[in-house]
Amino acid sequence: MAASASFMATANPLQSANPLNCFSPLQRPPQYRGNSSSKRQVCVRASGSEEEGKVIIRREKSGWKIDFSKEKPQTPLLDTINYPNHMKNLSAQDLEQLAAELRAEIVYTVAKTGGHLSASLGVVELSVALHHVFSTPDDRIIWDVGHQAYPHKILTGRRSRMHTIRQTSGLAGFPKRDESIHDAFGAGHSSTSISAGLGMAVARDLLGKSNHVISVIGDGAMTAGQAYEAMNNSGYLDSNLIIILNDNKQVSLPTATLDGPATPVGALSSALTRLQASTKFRMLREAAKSITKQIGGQTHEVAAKVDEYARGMISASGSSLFEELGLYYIGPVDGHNIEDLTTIFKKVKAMPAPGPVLIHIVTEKGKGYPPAEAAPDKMHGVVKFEPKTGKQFKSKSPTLSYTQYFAESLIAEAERDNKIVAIHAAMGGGTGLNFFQKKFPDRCFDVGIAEQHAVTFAAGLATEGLKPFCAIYSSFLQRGYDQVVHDVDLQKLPVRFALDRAGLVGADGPTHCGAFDIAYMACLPNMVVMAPSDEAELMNMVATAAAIDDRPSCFRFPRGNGVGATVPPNNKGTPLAIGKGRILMEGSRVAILGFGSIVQNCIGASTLLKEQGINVTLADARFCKPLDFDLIRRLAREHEILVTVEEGSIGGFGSHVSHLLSLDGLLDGNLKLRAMVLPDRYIDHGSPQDQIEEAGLSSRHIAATVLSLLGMPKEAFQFK
Amino acid sequence: MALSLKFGIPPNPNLTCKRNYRPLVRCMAIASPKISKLSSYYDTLSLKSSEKLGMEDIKKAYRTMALRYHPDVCDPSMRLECTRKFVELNKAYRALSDSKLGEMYDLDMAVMDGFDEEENMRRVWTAQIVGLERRSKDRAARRNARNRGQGMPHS
Repeated sequence: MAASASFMATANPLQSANPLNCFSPLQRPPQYRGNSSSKRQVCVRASGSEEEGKVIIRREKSGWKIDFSKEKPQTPLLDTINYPNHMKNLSAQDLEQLAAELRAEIVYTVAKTGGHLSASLGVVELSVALHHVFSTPDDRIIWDVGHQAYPHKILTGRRSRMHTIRQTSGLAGFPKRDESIHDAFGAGHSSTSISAGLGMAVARDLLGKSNHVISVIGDGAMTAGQAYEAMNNSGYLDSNLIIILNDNKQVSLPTATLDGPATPVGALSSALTRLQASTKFRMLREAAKSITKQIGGQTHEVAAKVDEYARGMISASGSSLFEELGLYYIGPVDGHNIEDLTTIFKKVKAMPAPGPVLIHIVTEKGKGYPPAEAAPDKMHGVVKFEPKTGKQFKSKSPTLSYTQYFAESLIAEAERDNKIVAIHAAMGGGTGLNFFQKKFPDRCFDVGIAEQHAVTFAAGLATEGLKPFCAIYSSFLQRGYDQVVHDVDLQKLPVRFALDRAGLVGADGPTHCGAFDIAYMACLPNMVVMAPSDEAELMNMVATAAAIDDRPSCFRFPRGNGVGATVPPNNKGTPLAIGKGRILMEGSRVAILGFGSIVQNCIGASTLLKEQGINVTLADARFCKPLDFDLIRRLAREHEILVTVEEGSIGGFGSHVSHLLSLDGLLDGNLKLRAMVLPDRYIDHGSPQDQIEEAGLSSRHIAATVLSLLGMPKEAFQFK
Repeated sequence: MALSLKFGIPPNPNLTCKRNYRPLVRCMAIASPKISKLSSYYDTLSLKSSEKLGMEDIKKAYRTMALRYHPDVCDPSMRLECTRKFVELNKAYRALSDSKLGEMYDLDMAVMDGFDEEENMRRVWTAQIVGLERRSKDRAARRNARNRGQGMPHS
């Protein structure tokens, strides 16, 4: 295809008389509209010999217009950018065009792969400005959480692989140090960017280097305590550090309840709102400062006093917060105006010793893609969708997700017991508690991204006799672990933990993988640890947890859909007998003891083994703590081989079972005991099936393990 | 909200000044009532809010109403209602005169800047950057002085 790209050179205001008319020979030249240089139409066309009317991105009065109704537009400028170095010589006009092309690229890519859409769209201009002014990898850019780093990845040489994002052996959905030198720090959990940035800045100072460190953090991530810990320390250490607060008013995820956008949680959000609204006050403050400058050098003390009062009293209290912490506040700045952003960044970059600086930019999540701007959840996380309409291709499944079953059964419990309350940490959609909140708005608490606070808050609720259910992802609860130990378990408070996303989680990868919760929960002396093998068991365990009122309890369930078990009527579960498992299949010689949803793979394994003429006993442990001693003893005494299976790390269920058996003397005889756990390494992101295969916990692997123990290793290879 | 900021120059014996100013920095924030309340205040003073009203109009309206409703002036049998109405009048007058003050202040600000939200924002952070540059220079100078190990004259 003959591509002739003709585009406007740097806009020189002196040349306004003669605009560059650019048009493809196959089309009529455009009508020149407007008579001022600011309204000049800039367009880039690639003339193709085959088809007319290739989609282009053109600039109009109101901004850059991308036509999403056709195929992916040409991106001639983006095509020339392979690394951030290639962006250094672009003009302001070019940068804007690059941003528009980048937007189109992101929308069309995520439409095919699924992933995080709107967060990336909101920071397109920021990414372009950062890479234009700063030079990674020497300068370090740290993206908090990292799901907004798609433009960053495209600009840093990974554009050709973007179609593999979040897939097995493809790009990670979050920044990853192993993936590229331009990714300064791995992310996935929030609020770590300032801490990491400060560490890099201090190291740079100690090593005598002079690069820049930039941390990009969102207003949601700002609600976490670690962000304050980091800002407090950076104010104290006074190292040169640039913190960019990306404020788009989306504090919780997904950014909506069932009825519409979620109102921002917490006092910080209102402080930030006041900051943005009070330009008049800030004008007065700045005017006061400039007046003091004019009075003269003798008034230095008074000027300083005025400045202090101005900053403290006249300006909106939000900026004082950052300034009290020792950061120099700049803003608010329009986060979609590349010129403003580059001006500020260039100025700050040129200063020798600014100390820690916080630049507050205001963006719109999903900007530039109308379906995302209009959607209540802003299309934060999407599966494959159609670019024209934004409609997602959600696959129809015969069963709901475990999350939905959990929410339904919790609602059923709460209808009968008005002491039940639910707490989550900015994950109303992910934990299913949006449904709970709709039914019981007074009994559902979203504390922002603050797991530590959520746990102790639940503990406080429990002391007064309420029945709190803390729904936090398995990997996110790691952040509040001390609170679980010290505030909940040590005092034996009946807080119920619903650990969603336990085990391998698929495309999100190791940052979100819930591998450790069995280990860290079951080692606590007072905790009851359960795991359902299917959705009906999940509902029963919710009821069981509601009934356990004298000690803390938890239950873990995976990402994914149910298996089709018959759920109890009205979604109301029946409490199970605590510490009692169940036998699913009776057999001889071999016993498989599963814990959690991995039991489904054990069922698959026993089917495979039956084809080989081997009848195994299959048991579902249900409880890791307290263990069903009788069941385990029976299995150990009546079988030659005992295999425990769990989708968790070493130190979990298998460890507890082997400890019990050894104490009982059952390992002193002829028993062959094997524990199948997740391998002692991090499993990369990919499809759930690929991950389970990689981990060695599929039905095939379980059956193969049994066969090797039976002395039939060759038969193990017969399984497909 | 309306704000006022006053400050003065400290007394300096080196300056040949006839008057000694005392340093005074005062900041007042006057809360102005919301729009819906404002309209009822207009009603209390029997004013049409649609008209362009200045401070003089409000003062005149208040005086006329006050002469009618002052507890000492009105009919003794209606004293209780009169007092209540008078209190309302006072509240209305205070609120409206404050909001007028606020409006005038807004107008001043607008006239000062040719009120454009975006331009305002830009001016704000431009000024902040100037401040940051100053701070950076000071800190760099101090750092150099420390490194060189000799005192620098205070700037």
